[in-house]
Amino acid sequence: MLNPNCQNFRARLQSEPDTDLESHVDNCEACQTWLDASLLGSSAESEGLQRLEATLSQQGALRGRLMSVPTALRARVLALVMLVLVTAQLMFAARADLGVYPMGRLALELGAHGLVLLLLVTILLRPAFRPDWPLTLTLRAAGLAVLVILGIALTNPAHALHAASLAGRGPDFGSHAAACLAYGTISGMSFVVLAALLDRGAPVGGTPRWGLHLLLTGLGIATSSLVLVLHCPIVHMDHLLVGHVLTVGPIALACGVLLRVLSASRAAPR
Amino acid sequence: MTPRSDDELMAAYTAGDSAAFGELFTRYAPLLKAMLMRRLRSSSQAEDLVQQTFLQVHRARLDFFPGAKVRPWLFTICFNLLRSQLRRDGRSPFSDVETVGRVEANQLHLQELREFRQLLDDLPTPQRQVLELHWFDGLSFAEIAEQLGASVSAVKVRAHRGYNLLRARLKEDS
Repeated sequence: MLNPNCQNFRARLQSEPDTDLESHVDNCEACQTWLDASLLGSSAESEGLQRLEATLSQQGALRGRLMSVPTALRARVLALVMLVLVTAQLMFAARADLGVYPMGRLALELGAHGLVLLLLVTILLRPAFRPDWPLTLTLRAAGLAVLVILGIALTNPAHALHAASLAGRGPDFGSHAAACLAYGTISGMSFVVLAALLDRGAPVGGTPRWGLHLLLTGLGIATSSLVLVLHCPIVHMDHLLVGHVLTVGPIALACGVLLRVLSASRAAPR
Repeated sequence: MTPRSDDELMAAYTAGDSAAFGELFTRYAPLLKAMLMRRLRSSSQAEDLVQQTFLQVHRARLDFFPGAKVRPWLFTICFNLLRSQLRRDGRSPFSDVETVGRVEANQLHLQELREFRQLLDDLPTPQRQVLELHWFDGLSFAEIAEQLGASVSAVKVRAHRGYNLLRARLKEDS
């Protein structure tokens, strides 16, 4: 129940400084509680907070936790997974011609992939308190991934010193190309799924959806190409163009589907 | 319940106290919304961006460096999202930000901060003092009271008046 002094306090609160007013609130618990509540926010803020909390609860405990991982740790997780992918290839599924493949060229190819991946991951992991990079940078980085994979396909075959490198021609062309297409797409997408789960949903290049689509597709292409460079011994251009470069299509499609699945729980409420 | 300082709230929040997130939201959401409305077309767009800001704050809370100031961190996230929104709309005088780069982008941030600073400077001194110590220095009301040699209630009364005036002026401007 408000006494006349309480009513007086609330009416005069917005007027000039008044020691009577301050001494009233000093001694009145009800007015202290009211003042604290007014400093903590209004009903409009409570509604906004409720909507925000509903969004946070919708995204699920695991996804919420993954998105909230500190940026340094997110970078380490992605680096570790990439290291595991590369090591597993070299240990269990290395290209048959590794012993005769020119090492300088292999180092150049791996280095190019490493640079593209580093650039794409840096764009993806940018914390929200850092300014967003322009979309042109994401476009260039994804374009660079395509250029690397095309460059490898269009340069002269690295060697002709191993029987496995000369396979995949004539009647075997389709089956070998399809196998590489599937292997590359699956490898690339395994990394992309993890990267998408670690993404915090901030705009990429100013756009919330297709900037991220472009970025993830670039990551998928670069990862797929890196795995295929370590795995597939075939060196002739036809196979590389169809079996390796064409992974761009299924990876772009799969990234679109993945983002559609993830976006439902990531979108902010209106 | 006595309002906690920003630093106390952020420390509690990163330690898992979800109520602290609510306090940060109710403290800053109205200010962010009023400032965003000066740049955006509609109230719902501004509300959406406030929601996005706090979603990012929530997801980036473990990136927050203990001892850093909460307010600039939070406002920077908000301005970065605003810039993205303006780029998307393609109607802002800052839409050439992509070609000009970060310098221009930071000017938008600084311009907004300058405008806000001006509004703050126009408040009566006792109210401005309290809000500055609370926001920029991250002091609790009890600490401000001690520093100013006033009672906690007097400080809260001044803060209440300051908030109301600031809200009203931001609303007028938007």
